[in-house]
Amino acid sequence: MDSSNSSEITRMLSAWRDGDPEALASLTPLVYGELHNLAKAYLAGERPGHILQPSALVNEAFIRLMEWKPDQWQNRSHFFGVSAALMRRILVQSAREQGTLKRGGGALRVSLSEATGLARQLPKVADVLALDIALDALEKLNPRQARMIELRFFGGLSIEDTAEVMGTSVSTVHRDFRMAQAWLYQQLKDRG
Amino acid sequence: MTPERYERIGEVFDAALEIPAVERDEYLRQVCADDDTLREEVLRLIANHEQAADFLAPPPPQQSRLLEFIGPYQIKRQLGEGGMGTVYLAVQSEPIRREVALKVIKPGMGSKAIIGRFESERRALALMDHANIAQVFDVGATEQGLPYFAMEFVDGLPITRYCEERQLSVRQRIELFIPVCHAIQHAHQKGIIHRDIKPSNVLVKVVDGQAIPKVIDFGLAKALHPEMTGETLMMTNAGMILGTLQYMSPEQSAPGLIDIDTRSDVYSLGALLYELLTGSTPLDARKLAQENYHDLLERVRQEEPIAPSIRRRESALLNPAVLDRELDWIPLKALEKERERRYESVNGMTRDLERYLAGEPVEAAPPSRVYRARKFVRRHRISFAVASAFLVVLIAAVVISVTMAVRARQAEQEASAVNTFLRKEVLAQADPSNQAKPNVAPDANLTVRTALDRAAGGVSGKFGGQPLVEAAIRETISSTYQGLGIYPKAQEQAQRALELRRRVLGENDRSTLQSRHMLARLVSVQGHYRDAEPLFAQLLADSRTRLGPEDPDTLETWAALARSYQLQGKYEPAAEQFRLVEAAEARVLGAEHPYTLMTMEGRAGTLFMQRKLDEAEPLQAKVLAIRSRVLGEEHPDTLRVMTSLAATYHVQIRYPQAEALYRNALAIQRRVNGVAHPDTLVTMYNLGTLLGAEKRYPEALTLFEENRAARGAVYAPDHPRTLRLLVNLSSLYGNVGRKAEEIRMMELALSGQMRVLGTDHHDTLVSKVFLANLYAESQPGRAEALARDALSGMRGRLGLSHPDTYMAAEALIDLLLKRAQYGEAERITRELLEAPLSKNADPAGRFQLMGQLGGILAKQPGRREEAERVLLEAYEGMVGKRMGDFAPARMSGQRLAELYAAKGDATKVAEWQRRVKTDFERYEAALPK
Repeated sequence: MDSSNSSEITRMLSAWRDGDPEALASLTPLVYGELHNLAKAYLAGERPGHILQPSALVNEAFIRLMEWKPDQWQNRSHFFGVSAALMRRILVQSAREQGTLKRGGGALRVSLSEATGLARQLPKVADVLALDIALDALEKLNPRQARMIELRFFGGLSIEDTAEVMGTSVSTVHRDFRMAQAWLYQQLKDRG
Repeated sequence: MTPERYERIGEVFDAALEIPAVERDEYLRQVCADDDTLREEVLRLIANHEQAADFLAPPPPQQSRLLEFIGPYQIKRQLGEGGMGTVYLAVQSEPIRREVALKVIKPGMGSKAIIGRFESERRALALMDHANIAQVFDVGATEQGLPYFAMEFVDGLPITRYCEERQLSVRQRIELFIPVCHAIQHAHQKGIIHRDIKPSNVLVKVVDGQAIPKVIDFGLAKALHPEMTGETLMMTNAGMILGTLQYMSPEQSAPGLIDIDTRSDVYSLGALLYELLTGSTPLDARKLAQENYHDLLERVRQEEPIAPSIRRRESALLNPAVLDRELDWIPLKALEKERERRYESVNGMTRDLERYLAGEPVEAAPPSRVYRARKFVRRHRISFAVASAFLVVLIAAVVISVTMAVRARQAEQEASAVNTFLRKEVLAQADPSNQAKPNVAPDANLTVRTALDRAAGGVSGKFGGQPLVEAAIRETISSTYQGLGIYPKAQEQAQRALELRRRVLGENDRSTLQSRHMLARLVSVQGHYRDAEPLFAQLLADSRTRLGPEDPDTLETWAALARSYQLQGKYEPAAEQFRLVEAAEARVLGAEHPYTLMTMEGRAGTLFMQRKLDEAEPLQAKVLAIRSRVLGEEHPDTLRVMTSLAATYHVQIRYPQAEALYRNALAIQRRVNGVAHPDTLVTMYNLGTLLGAEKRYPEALTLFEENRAARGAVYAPDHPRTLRLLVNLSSLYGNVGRKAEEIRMMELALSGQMRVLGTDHHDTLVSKVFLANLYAESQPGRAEALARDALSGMRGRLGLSHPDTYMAAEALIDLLLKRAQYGEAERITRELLEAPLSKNADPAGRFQLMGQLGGILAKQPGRREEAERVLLEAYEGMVGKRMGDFAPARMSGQRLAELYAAKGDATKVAEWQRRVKTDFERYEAALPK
């Protein structure tokens, strides 16, 4: 890990929080690269026995980028906030590549009963794509809830951290999450 | 589905979930009376909710259940067993795979308290980043509740054994020991005292054939034995005492108050060095083993070690090579019983070792141990000691950097009352088991801030009978708040301390006056220079009548007043007052006294701001020379004046000298002060500016951005220095083409300066000019208003021939020319050009302004003759001087060429185009590479 990376990221993140929109743009490739490598390794099954958990990936990326010194990191939840969206993009992209590669085209769907049986262990390849589509639909109905799911599921943020990143109350996150969860579940069930 | 529909479903869904399941059907029937689809949708969602409550929720942190795991660490094998517990080699697999050394503390030591204490020091520990320090990654508790520490695994031998096995020479041993000193010094700068330096905590590992010493167990001693003294150690754990006691300083082995500072580590390093040189510890271990512990502790406190050269001759372990007498003094000075007589810092010891290796005389040489003017330090020592007993654990890094405003005056008795209170009220809070009170849940994440707030709240009413003790405590709390940058609270506490002293001691007492000084300084430190001035002025008048005009306290206040003039940009009175204080201090305290030098530095700074560089330079050089000699090359004060001298070179456009000096100072400051230190930030800032002036923009931008990121730890976001940084950052962004950031940064700077410094502070005025230039195209009206404002401010404040006055004038003239307001532009320019040149005038700037006048004239067809004359004089004048920038000269040259073109004189046009080209090449060639 390049030692300039973590200070670069720290700087960008604080600039972004100070209202510099360009900082986020410059931040993205740095975090993206790290997340991408990790996601690829996971999806390629380089770590047998592991169940894919996007939040674990983000966490690992975080620790790597911070050069194993996450304690020095002030904006922890904001990092995860940024990473969540990236993680979603990476997983969807990797899932597409993988699906194309292995199945010679159309993505494979796993029935939802399988997916919910593993409630906490999402996702299988096809689920990522289905979830991505469902999230896009939710985005049109309630962008806040879509973002919240992104933060929780792809970023692994706790309810409290989600509230902090989104600038809302814990109870709002709680309510929104409950609704979005039930609705997305329905969407995936309908598709599956 | 529409968003409205989705929202409606959500409302009903939420409401339904809030009521008992049995009532839901009834509720839904009512609410969805005329909308069956709604009802069905909501019912479906409720079913989903009940079925898949975990769907998409992130998993809770994983826990491992395997037996061969401790926490998340898989145990590989046992590395060793000691008094404290067992050390394992373990593997961490999540989130990354690495080997760690896992130290599991044996039962009976209070797991919660240990973890709590460690957590409280974690932030400070995390600041440490040094190749010779093994990191502590994690702390936790096993399933049985035993605390453990996970740390970097160092595969190596204790340094003493390594040296024996390899039969290293004395020189090699010292060379191996020096990096250990650097590591400890680094920790001290971050506010961490190791407290338990001994061979088994300094391991040497070999990487690519190179021996690398690593200091382990930072933070553990503090966490395990917060009050580690010989007595408590003996009581908790008799078995480990021997291994530790031989390296433990007398103050650590003394009963009673814990009062440990960095010099305790100096002692332990001395013991370690002693052992490396002689093969045995300063107090003979074999004898120690036979004694009872009271005698033993007594010996630590009393017995003077035998000189290493003599001890070595007695030792059979090492080859009998004669040990240099000169070398004796280094460990002996470190091992002094009274810590005042030890090396003041690990750095001092390191330097002596380096001197020894270089064959130079060491500082520690005996009969005339150099006694230096240490009054300054002594005055600060008591409150410093209070602070270290109190919060070193929590915030030492911050406290240590705040040496300036802390003034010591508590009598011993007061100091110990303060100690006790703080220990009970504040330190005890760091232990979660002590936090539990009715209605108050223990706070695992207790912050310094909270601890301090609670302590501040706990003072009232507790010391009804001892108002002076209360005042002392409040001042200590105040300086700690100040260290944390929480200025309003710091001010509140200082204010209340002052009121107490006033009430008890009266207005005339020295302590009362010192309290006022502290308060005024606090106002100034926050950048409220205007408010600080009257406070200092009144205090000076009072000190003169009550303490006498030449009392050192009076002189200190006087210097502070001069400084507050300077900070407000009132340079004339500042320079005059500094001169008077300096003369008085030289007379009363001596010409080389630290205070006198401080005042000289202040005067030089004022001269610098007035651009009287010829006067500033020798003064700075003098201070630098004296400090290098008296304090040493690496002393923060020496480094600070080094930066100032470099700044003078910088403004004189002697870039290579300036850059070399900056880089020299910065390298040492990064090491000695750390990045987040005011002085380091200044040097970094100046060097960045210099690189910017040399058009090395990316390098400059990197420094500035690092600076901006680091300064958050030191300054408030609208501190004047931060605002000045923004100004420079703005122009760097401009230079690399990031226009939007350039403007935004400058607006941010100016609005902050107007608020904090006032509308006609020098800095504010400069920013107005810059912003006027930036607005020139987009908002010419605002730009002109800003430029006018700036010019009138500069004229009044700096005079008619100051370079910054010229700069403001040029900005305004440019704007006027755009509107063809030739008359006014000419009037302004001529007025400035005709004003008598003051000493600090910038000759190149004057010719530049003349070039502007030429430009104004050239625009008016009837005045071309006049224009030609003026432009010729301006151009020749500019290229004859040293210039920071060729652009103005080029502009005059081009205007001349245009004039000749208008006259149809093609020969002259070509001649001038050539001339400008050659002069530019010459200018470029002269630039430092």
